[in-house]
Amino acid sequence: MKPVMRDSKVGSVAGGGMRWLFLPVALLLLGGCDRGLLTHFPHRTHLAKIECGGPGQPQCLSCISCHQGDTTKHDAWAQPTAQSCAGCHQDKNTDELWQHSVRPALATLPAGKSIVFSHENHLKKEGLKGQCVKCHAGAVGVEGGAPLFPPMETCLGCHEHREQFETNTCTNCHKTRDLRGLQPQSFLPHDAVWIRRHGGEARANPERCATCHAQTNCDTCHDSSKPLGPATRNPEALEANYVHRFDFLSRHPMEARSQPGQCATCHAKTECDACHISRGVSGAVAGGPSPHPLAWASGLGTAANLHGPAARRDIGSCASCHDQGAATNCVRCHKVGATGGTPHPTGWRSTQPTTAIECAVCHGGMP
Amino acid sequence: MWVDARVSTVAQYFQQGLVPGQPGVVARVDTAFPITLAAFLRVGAIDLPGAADSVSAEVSAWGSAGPRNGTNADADVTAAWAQYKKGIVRVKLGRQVTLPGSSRFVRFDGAAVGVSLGSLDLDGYFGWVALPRWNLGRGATLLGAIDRDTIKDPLLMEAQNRAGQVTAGVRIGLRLPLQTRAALAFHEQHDLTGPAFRVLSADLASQPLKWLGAGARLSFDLQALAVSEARVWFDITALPLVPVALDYSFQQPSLLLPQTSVLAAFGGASWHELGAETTVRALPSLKVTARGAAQLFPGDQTGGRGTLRAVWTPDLDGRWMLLGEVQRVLVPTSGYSQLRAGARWRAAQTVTASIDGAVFFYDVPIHGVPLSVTGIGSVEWAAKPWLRALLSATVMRTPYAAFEAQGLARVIFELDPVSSGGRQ
Repeated sequence: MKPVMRDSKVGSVAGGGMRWLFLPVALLLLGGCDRGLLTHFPHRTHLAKIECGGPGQPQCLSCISCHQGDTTKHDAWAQPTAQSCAGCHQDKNTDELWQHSVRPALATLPAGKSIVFSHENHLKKEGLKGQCVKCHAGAVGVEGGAPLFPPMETCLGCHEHREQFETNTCTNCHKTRDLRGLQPQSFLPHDAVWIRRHGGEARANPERCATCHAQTNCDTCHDSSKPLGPATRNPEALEANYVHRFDFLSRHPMEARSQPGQCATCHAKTECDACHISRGVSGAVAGGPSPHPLAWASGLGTAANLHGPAARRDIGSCASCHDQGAATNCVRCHKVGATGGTPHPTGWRSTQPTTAIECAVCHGGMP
Repeated sequence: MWVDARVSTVAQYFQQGLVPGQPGVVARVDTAFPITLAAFLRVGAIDLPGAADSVSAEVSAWGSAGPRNGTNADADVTAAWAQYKKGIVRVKLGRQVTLPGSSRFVRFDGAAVGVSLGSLDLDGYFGWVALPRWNLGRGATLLGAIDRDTIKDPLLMEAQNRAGQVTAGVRIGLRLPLQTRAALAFHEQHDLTGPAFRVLSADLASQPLKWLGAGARLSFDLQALAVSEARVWFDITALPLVPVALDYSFQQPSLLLPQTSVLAAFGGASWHELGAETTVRALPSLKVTARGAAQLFPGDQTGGRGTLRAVWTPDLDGRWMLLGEVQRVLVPTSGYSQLRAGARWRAAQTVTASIDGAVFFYDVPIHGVPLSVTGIGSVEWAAKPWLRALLSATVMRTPYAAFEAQGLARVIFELDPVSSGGRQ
């Protein structure tokens, strides 16, 4: 092979100007390594690269040479033991060999992997022809390749489970207990957009959510009654999309304006003022400051109507403090016959008669 | 039968200034060390004679002691229900949550019954509304109110009385081909003064193509005769490496108020949001999520929100996790930008440390302060599979505090680590 000559000038530029790229690129490459293989054990070497079967050679190995569990049992997994290694590696410390072959974090069967499954029945299938690796491709796979434990997608290659998904019939394969530790991948994936989708799914099929989740799971984020918000309770949950993380106190007026009505998903309208009062930043507290600018509703010049557009935009924000029925100070100016004019927006409709209590406070009829 | 239980105890230590008072007045600062305990118990797959795996139940409650926000002790029950399910019928009794037909979830004490007949699902519920805090009076304050003497009808004070605060609803759902689900629901909820919410809602979800999922939901207020909320979404996976989600939402905030509120008649404006989101796994270990949304408010005012987040888990065991995030929020009159970085390191099989920090830059300074700087550090020790302890410290510099520090200690007992559970 003809040697490739390196252009020293180019090399110099790369070495100087592009050197800063080396570290992140190297880190990224390292990050991509060693992924996909759930065990340190060299399956490929043992299954395909050992000279075997000939005179003086060891017996050829198959999966069940080491995984000698009862394949007729549904949950047979048959993790090999150090004794399995001792059959061939008589001159080595097999305990040590075994320890090296198993990742510490995966030394026990991952939650939910013990599905109701007959290896024996599946190995008899025409499509599999006794080959374990058709499903457990990761056992002899390459870096970044198929996982050792087949994902549910592998099952779906032969089995159509749509009806089971829709009717929440999971326990034909999964154990009820395990369902709580699983996260769906092939169906209903809880991916990045799931957080925006989950409300609709929960509304459409709450029983399906309950297959895995407790109501308390919803309360983890949605229950505003707890004095501690989830972001405070769980400071280590970095990936969670908590709304109130960090200095929410400073941001909360902006967040409320950014998505009017969203606060009401969890918070009752009275909670705003309850919190403001407890912190002494409410007009209800003696000496407490008003959040409104001067002349907010004083009737002086153009400033007089500042409160009007704000109220139109998000009346919920007004209601968080000013919602006391007939005692609401908005009523004072906006009731029929007063100077504030009608508060109803164009096209406003209601099926309520004006004698209904909430109507009567402005339209008369209150005792 | 299986049992799932968790008890979480959180002790905090911080100082609070409850009354800032007038400018120039020195606020009184108190040291606070409240302790909050949350407990949760769930049982399932209980067999009854002739009905295997038919009963499940859940109880969840919390209690807090120590000064916080002007109160010294507080407690509540958030769930207490039992469900019987056999064949096509299910019955659930107790304190539970429902959201079949309402725009928002509702917690209530009562009964829910469901029947599945082939591809048809029928659900109904009735009960007394468990307000966000059943033991806390609603409308207990009178900010800006006119003279109290003018209040003739005590009902208008919204005094806490659950007797008339009932809710009921039904939902009819249908499963159709093309993985399509459609449903029509009705929800009614009463305050003391009358019907607070009377909502008809419809939702639809379908996957007409292998690479396309779509759904929509609409809530119609039957008292105001107007749409209170609507959403439409599409999931597009035509390019598996770049899945895209598109969504549109519409809301009319005044209709999310109880219609018994006088102010429900004052609103009428609506706002719209159009958003898109994608998550790209640039490498097996690197996940990048981007979301952007544009908003249209009354008066042709516009707004927007955008987030870019990268999460890097360099090794399979999850020993390291690094997170970076940039966010921009545009809101009429003011908005903010956020820069965030975090890392979690599993130092040993049982010890995990994390740091998380962010800087917020405000478009309009708050009290003359243009930014907030916050940082949180924590160390967690999983002493046993059923016992975890965490220590955490938070430091902040915000428009409201030149320097703020808080300490937190948390201990969690967990009976069943298999559960995906919920952080308490």
